[in-house]
Amino acid sequence: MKTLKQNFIALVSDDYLDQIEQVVDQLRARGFEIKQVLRITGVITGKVSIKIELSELNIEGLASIEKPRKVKKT
Amino acid sequence: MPINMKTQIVERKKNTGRNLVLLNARLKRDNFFKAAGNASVKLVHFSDYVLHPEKYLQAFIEADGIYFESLNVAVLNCEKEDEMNYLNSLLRQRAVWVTEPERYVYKIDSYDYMKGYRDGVNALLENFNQIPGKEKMPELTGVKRRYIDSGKFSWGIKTTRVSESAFSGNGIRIAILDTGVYKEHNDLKGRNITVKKFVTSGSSGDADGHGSHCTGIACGFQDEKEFRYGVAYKSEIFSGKVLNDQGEGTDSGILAGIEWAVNSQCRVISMSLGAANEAGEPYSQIYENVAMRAINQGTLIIAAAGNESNRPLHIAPVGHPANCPSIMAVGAIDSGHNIAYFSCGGIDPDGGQVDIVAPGIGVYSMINAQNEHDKWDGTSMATPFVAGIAGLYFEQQKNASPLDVWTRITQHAKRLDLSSVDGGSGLVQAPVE
Repeated sequence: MKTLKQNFIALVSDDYLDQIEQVVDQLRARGFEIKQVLRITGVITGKVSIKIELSELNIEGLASIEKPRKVKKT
Repeated sequence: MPINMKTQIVERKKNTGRNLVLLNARLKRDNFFKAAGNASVKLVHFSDYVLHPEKYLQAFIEADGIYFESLNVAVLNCEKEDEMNYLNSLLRQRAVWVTEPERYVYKIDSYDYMKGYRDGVNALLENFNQIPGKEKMPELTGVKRRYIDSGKFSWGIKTTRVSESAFSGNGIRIAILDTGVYKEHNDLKGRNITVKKFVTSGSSGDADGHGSHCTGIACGFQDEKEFRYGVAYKSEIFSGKVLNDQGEGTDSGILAGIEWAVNSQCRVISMSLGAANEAGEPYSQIYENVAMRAINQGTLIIAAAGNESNRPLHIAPVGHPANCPSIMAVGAIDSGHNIAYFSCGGIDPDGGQVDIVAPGIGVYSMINAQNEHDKWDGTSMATPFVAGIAGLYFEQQKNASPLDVWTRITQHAKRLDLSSVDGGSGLVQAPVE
């Protein structure tokens, strides 16, 4: 059966801005699919199983992780 | 056959046949009513009609008049004037201070005439102030001025002093993250434009028109006759298509667009986009940190406060991501400097304030068709005004940091007769010299 997935946006902490790949590797190891790695602003985006509770994730160098929102023109 | 336009003279009644009576405030109410009874003046209290105030006119049929307790005013049928004089004579203190006929009131249907007259005076004042060598006439005080579009400048250009600015955004890169841009527009001929698409579907141009309109406002246009709309008409345009052809996108695409703009050394990012927030909803930690990192890299992010209000009934909180403290949130005003009915307010205590306002009703700019223009409304239109003006400040002081420019924008804002919840620091003003 196909696993349902949720999108995520994540932010690395200031001291991991130069080591963002380490955070990416840790996310991949936990089953996260990485779509974008934005090195200047320290953002990682992608998909992961909905079974993963994002708010309970504990990864070194990961400052914040959220579900992306839909936005529209104002 | 032409319509025979006869002037209709409608005779309007002036007086109602009743009297307004201002009563002595020091008079004891019970004594007054007792004397009124002795003088055969039957009065009822307005409070008797508290459940059905619309039926108060019954008082003039069932009694001689009505007494408004909180105003200390009575309205009496005129034929009771003698009785009121007799009532006065019964009391040691004078009961009635002033009596005057109650008048009918009508709506002012000469409004359009007066509006036209006012606009005419404003136009005259503006033209007078443009005469070289003449001392400038100060703005009228105590009268709310309404800015108008004229042959040379749109109203937004005038009220933000862009029309007086010596700056054009020359050498400044401004990013517009929106639905794209119609690069083929006549007004963009000769402009340095870089485009990048961050959405997977739809056109690579601007099928919606929103992005083109916003680009025209921020990055401006001026022709050889110095007709000007928009702001930074010599800036470099970086158009990131983060919203699809229906005007929708996601955080992932917007964050990618921010990264691209920062990496491209844009000094300003204009985002006329957002998502509605519930009151009390916290701001995104990710956007807040991204905005701070952008500032550290030399880029200021400016975003629309949102259009979810329906004033005066409802004021919605500033939307996402403009509610982040490190993103400048822009509200919208009309040409009379009133807050736009739709403009979101700074009602959330933690972040979520409106930082500044700019023209957001009837804003003239280009759209996504050859040589076409239109006037649109929205905090979307106000946001690129501030972004373009931020570009002028960066041009004025090349080494300024984004926080320097933020400070200059808010310090030089024109204070308006608006609460800070609605208007932040006030109306954005361009650097003039």
